[in-house]
Amino acid sequence: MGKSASLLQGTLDLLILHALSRGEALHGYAIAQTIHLLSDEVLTVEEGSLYPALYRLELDGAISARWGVSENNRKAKYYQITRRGRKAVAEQQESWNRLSAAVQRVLAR
Amino acid sequence: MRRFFLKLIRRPNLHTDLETELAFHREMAATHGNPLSLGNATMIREEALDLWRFIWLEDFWRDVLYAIRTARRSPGFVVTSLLSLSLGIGANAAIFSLMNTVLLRSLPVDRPEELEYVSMQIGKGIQPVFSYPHFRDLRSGNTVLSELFARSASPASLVAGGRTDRGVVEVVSGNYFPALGVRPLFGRVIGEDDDRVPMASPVTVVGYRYWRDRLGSDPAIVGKTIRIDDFPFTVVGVAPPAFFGLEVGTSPDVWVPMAMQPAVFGSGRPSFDDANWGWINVFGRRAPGVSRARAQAGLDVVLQQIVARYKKPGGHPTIVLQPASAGLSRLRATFESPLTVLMAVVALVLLIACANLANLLLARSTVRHREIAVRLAVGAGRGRLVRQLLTESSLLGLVGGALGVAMSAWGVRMLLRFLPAERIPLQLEVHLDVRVLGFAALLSLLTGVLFGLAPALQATRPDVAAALKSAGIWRQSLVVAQVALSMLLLVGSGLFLESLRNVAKLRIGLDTDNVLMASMNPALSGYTQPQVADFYRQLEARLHEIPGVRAVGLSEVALLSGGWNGVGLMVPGRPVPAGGNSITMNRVGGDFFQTAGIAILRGRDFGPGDAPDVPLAAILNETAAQYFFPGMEAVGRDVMLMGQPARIIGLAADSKYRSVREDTPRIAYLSFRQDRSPSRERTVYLRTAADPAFTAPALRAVIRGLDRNLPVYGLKTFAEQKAESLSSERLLAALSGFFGVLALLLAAIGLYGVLAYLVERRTREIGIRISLGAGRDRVLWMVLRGALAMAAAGLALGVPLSRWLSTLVVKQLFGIQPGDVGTLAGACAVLTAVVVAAAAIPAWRASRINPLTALRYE
Repeated sequence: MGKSASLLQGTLDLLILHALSRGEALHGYAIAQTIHLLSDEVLTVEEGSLYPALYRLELDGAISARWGVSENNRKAKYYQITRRGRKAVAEQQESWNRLSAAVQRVLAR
Repeated sequence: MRRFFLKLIRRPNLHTDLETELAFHREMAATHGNPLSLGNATMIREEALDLWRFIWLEDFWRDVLYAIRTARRSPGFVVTSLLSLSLGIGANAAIFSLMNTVLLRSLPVDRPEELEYVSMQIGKGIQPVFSYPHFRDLRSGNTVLSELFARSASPASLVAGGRTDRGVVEVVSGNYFPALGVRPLFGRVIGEDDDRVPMASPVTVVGYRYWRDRLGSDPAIVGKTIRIDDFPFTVVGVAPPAFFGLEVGTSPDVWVPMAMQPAVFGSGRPSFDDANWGWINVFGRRAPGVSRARAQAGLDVVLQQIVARYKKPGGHPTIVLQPASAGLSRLRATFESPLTVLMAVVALVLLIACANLANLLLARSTVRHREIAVRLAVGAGRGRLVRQLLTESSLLGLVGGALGVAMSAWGVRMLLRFLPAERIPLQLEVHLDVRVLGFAALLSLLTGVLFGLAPALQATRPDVAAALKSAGIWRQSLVVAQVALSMLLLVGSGLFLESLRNVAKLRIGLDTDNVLMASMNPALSGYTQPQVADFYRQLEARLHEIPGVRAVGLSEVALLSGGWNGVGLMVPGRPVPAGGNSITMNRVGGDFFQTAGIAILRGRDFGPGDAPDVPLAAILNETAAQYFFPGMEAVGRDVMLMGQPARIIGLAADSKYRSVREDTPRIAYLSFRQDRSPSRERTVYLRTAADPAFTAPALRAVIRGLDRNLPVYGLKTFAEQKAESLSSERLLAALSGFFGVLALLLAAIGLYGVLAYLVERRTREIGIRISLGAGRDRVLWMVLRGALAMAAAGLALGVPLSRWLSTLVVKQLFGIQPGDVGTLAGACAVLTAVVVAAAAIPAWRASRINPLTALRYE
């Protein structure tokens, strides 16, 4: 993990949904990579937390999955955000903003 | 819901899907040169997959299999607990299904909740029957009920295909079937057109059971003729299997239009148009939205107009509507409270059985504490273990319940034997319906879960020593509770037995030993009045010829059958006594008084001189004589009986008439010789030298010799008749006795289990005691004392409880007080004896403990 920060409980869902909310369907590895890159390589998502999270989100109906063919011609499972997921991402973002602002305020004093 | 289907669809590929996905992930990571962030692969799998499985269900299935495996290893435990449970649940299901049939079940008709039973209230009494003119006018004046229809049932002789059967005919108004919404199995039902003109439409709808059993399920029955009371009727349809009419326990074999009533009710009844003769039960259907009060008030307006038209019935009748969704039931009145009492009794039995189950489960959990401790130690969650133990106990409950339901089918047949066979034969369709099965399933699950929960929580307590200790306390309290509950049942059965004995000892003024009785009604088979008189003359003569017959008597109303014939008696020149002028009447013939064991105290018996052409001769019983002639001699007086002059020629000793438990009625006896229309049912009595049952075949043969097609019914000994008159008392006494014994047995098993376990646990301690010089009898006493302490605690609880509870059944008791000291003492003695017996084996075993073996024990 090195310099990567550990993820706060519950933020992984938000990050996954955000990664997917850009519209494209992504497979699990691509999701992990997207998060890794968007965080300027600070955050690393372990598969140990990624896949349980994906399965849970699918069961909740926030994302949907289908089998497809990857860029290197392998069978891969692609995840796409659903309408329910978009609504969830907005809500979670809102509460995250409130939380992080609050933490900032506390630390600034 | 969505999650459920999602899980269902994806389930089969779940495992391989995840593998493929993870493999792909690793491959991508490798090609991109990323460091592998390998987590625990198994953990990922479990975490990701658990979400998608039906964990609860799959675990449950595993628990069930595990439970079956462990059960196979301890058959003794399983058999004992299943036996306890199935007896408890079976008893409950049996009583409940009888209760369901007699008291609860709705009629199998359209919207039974709208049905109303119409009767009249006169003063404080309810008059349930209407005359035909009353019904007709009530119906034509009715504007509040959507339908008003009527029925009346009567015994009948049915001739079809050369055989004669005694059955039940129900005459019904033309709108009866349409109003009930009963559609025929095939053919048609009776309609309005069949009921317009008297005697114009001799059609009949046959009941399903009669069609199946007596007509051989003839598919071409419609159009054929059967003779009902010797009058030919054309069959137009067959009723559906479920429809048994409106009276629970009375299943009509045939239905005929009310306009045909004169053909089937036999002669000697008042005419159809007689406004003074009430014989019809009236029912109505309430239109939706019309309240009972409004319907009642509306119908009452019509009744008042009718009453003004015909001066009868006397008094000021008003209409009363009662819900009739469950139909009429002559059984309801008799058996409602006994059945309720029995329901409470079997509930207690079930509680005792459940205590046994809990006890056995506790015992088992102590045996299994090692296994459970290990499983807790390797990280099994307590909740998970409790769930598994609960699965085991619920499984026991359900299997016990299934066995119990099977047993209840047999139990119901036994129960039905207690119900009396009356003038109209009883036909009860007691079967398992959804309600009974639901009741049994609920009981089984509840017992399994409730009584398994405490032991399961107990067994999984992390602190083993404390768990064992409190298990012991639990088990002893359960035994105390069992003793207390058994006490209740024993006191109950003691009280019921005692009151049955008291009722049976009642002086009924009849000598029921060595008498055989049988009833018949030749008029229903088409005999004219002279033929009827001739038939009985011949019968009496031939019965005298049977060897061993001492005397032959006849009566119109069979004694102690519940049947009854009330008339009025006026004494010229004297006012009507305050209690009214009614008197119970019975026509008699032959040596009736001698066969029934009624002494003629003064005056004379009927003789050949009492001919049809001389004034009526009557014999009164003592109660009647004292009532109508207080302080005077009654014999020799002239009275008006049924509006005819009659002379009292004799005084008979008091006796019961309708039933054993009634107050001695006022009775007037008349002679068949003076009966101008000798065309009714009669019962013969044979007083025999030896056991009357042996004379039954000869009696049958004599009647068959006179007419092989004449149905004979009610053939039984007089003693049996008396016993049947006490059916509700016998039902209570026999069943509460049976359940009392059952409860004792269950409690004894529980006590034995606890003591055997305690002795086993104290083997070491007892061994030390013995080696230190404690005598064997001292050890024996030590164990017995433990048992007696539990019994004493149980009795201390049971005595006040049973004193209080038995006041609730005071109505069912006769000649004994609820808190009867003798009964209580008896119950205590029996219980103590059973406790000592149950404790004897463990105590003896304790006293036989060899100190050497004991010290090496464990």
